[in-house]
Amino acid sequence: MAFSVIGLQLVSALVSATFLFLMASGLSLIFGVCRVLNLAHGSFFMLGAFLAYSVTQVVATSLGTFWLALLLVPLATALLGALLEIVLIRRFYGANLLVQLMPMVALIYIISDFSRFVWGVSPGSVPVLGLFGTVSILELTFPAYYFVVLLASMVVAAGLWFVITKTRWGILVRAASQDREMSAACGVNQTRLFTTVYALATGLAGLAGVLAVPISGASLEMDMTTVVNAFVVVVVGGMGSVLGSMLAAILIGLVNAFGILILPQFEMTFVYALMALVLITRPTGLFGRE
Amino acid sequence: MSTKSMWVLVSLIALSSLNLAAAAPSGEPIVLGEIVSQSGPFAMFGAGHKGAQLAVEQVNAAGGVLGRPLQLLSHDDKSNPAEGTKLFRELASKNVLAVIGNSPSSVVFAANPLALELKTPYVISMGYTSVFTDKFSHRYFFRTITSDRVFAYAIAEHMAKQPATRYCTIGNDFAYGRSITAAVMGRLKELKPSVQIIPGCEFWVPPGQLDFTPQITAIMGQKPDALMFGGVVAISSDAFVKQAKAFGLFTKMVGVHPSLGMPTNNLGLQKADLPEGIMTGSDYPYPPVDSKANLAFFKAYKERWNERPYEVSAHSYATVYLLAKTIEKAGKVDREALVDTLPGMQFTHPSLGDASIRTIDHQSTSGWWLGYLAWDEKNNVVGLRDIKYMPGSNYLPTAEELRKIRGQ
Repeated sequence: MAFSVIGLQLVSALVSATFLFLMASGLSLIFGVCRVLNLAHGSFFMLGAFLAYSVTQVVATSLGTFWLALLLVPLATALLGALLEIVLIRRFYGANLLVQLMPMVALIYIISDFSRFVWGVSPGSVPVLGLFGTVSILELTFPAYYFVVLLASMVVAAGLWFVITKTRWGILVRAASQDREMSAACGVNQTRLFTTVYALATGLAGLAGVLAVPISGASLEMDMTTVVNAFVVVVVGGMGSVLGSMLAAILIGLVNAFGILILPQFEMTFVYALMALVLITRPTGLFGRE
Repeated sequence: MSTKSMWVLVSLIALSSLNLAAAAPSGEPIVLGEIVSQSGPFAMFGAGHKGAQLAVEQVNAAGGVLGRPLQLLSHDDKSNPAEGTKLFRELASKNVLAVIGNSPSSVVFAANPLALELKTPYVISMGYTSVFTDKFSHRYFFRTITSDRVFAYAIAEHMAKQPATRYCTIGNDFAYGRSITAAVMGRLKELKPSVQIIPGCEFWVPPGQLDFTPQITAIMGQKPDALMFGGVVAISSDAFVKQAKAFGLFTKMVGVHPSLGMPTNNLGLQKADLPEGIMTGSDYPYPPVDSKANLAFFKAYKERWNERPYEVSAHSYATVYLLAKTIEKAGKVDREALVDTLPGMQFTHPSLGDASIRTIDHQSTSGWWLGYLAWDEKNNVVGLRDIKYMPGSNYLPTAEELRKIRGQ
C-alpha cells in the first residue's frame, strides 16, 4: 500500500475523530457527574447546526458570519442546556434508568418538532467550505476547513484538560464523578455544579453542530445518527472519562479509516466489532471505573 | 346530520367561496382519498398534496367531472407505514372512489396489499420501487410515475457510451442503496463488458452518515474513472456532495447518480455546494422544461402556493387529471369501473409529456431526464444542464420479462 494512501487515511481518521470527540466528551461528562444518559445530546448538536444556519442567513453567508455563529451558537445551546437542566433534568437524578430515559426521549421529540416548526422540512446549507481554500498534502488537495475543525477540537481538548485538572470547578467535577455522596457531604453545592456541567456539555454539542454544518448541512434527522455514534465512543472510552472519549474517538476514527481500506464492504462492522471487543475484555470501557 | 347531507353542505360552502363562472359543477362531490407524508423524514412529499389540490381546483373551475365537483380527502401518514395502513383502511371504508398516494416506498409496501383486500383503487405518484408493479402488481394498484428500473437503465445506457471503465461505488447500506447500485452497475456491465468495479473500492455507509472524509480519500487513492454514488440518498447525499466539492472529487472522476436532480433529493444544497461533473437525472428538472403544458403548470402552481413545484407536485397534479379523464371515460363513479378503465389511459405529465398506463403492470410509460447537475440561476435552485429525455418505454420490462420476474 502506497505511503501517501496511508498518510491520507491518517488525516481523515483524525478529522472524523474530532466530531466524535466533541460529542462524546460532553456525553461522558454528564454521565460521569450527573449520572444520567443524555440521550438528547444529538438534539443540541442539531440545534447548533440549525442556529448556525440561521445566523449565516440573517446576513449573507460569509466567513465573518460563520465566525460569529461559532462564537454565539455554543453559548446559546449551553444556556438552553442549563435551563433544561434546571427545569426538567434535575428532577430525574437518582431515578431508575428507565425513568430517566423518558424525559430524554420527550426532549428529542420536542426539539425535533420545534426545529421542524422553525426551520421547516428542507435541510439548511452554510456553504463556506470553499471560502477556506485548500491545503495540498501528498498530491491531494485537502479542504483547509478540516484543519480548522482539527485545530478547534485540539483547543477544546486542551481547554477541557486544563479546566478539569487545574481549576477548582474541575476538582469539584472530579470529586463528584468519583463519589457523589462524599462530595455532597463535604459541602459541595451539587445543584450548581450539575447545572454548569450540563451547560458545558450542551455547549460543546452546539459547537460540534456549528463546526459540522459546513460539511454536512443542517437537517432534522442528524440528531439521532450523531448521538448513536457518540454513544459508541463513550462506551469504548469508558463512561465518565473525558480522556477515554478522546482516545476512543481517535481509535474509532483510525479503525474506520483503515478498515475501509482493507474490507470496505464491512465498514460498519469494524467499529461495532471494536466496541464488542472492548466490552468483553473491559466491560467498563478503556478508561471507565467500576 | 348524515354523511351524505354533510358532503352536500361542505360542497355548497366550497362552491360559494369559489365564485365560479358559468359551468360550475353541482351535485354530490366525487371524493378522492389522499395519503400523503406531511410530517416525518419525508415531509417534503407534502408538496404532492399541493399539486393534487391545484388540479382539483382547476378541474372544478372547468366544470368538474361528469358535472360533479371533485374533492380531496387528505390525510398525513407521518412517513410511517403503520399510520399509512390505518389511513388506507379508514379511507376505503368511506365514500372515496380511489386513494391517491404521495408517500415513500415503505408506506406503499404496507398499503399496497390492502388495496387488493379492500378492493379500493390505490394510485400512487411517489414510490419508484419496481417491485410494486412487477411482483406485487394487482388489479387495484397503479403508479403514474416511472420505476427505479427506468432511471437505473437510462443512466447505465448513457454511461456505457462514455469512456469510463474503472468504477468505484458508494451507497447507504439499506435496501434501496443496495438495489440501485446493483441495477446501475449490473446493467452497465451488460452493455459494456469492459466496465469493472475496482476491487476494494465498493463502500457501504450507514443511512444518515454525515462524514465521508475517509471514504473520499480512499476513493481518490484508487483513481477510478467514475464514481457511482446513486445509493447515497437523503441527508447523506447533501453531505456527500458538499464534501466531494470541497475535495474536488469530481474534477478527477465522473460522478454518477440517477436521481440527484429530483428537487426533493437536493433541497439542502446551495450554489456554492455544487460540484461540476455529476451525471444525474430528474423527473422535474430545473430550469422548468420548456413545454406549453409545463410552463402553464409551473405558473399556476407558483401563483396558487407562492412556492416552486417539486417533482411530487407535478406527479400528483398529473394523477388527478388522469383520474378525472378516466372517470369521464368510464361514465360513472364506481371503483370497479375506474379500475377497468385505467389501464391503457393516456395522460399528460407537465414535465414528462404524454404517457399512458400500461395494461400489463399498471405503471406509467413516462421516462426520465438526464443531465449534468448545475445551478439554475433564474430560479435559484439546483438544476440540470444539457438535458435529454429518456422515454420510459425503452427500459420498462416486456410482458415476457414480467412473467419471468413474477415467476409465472
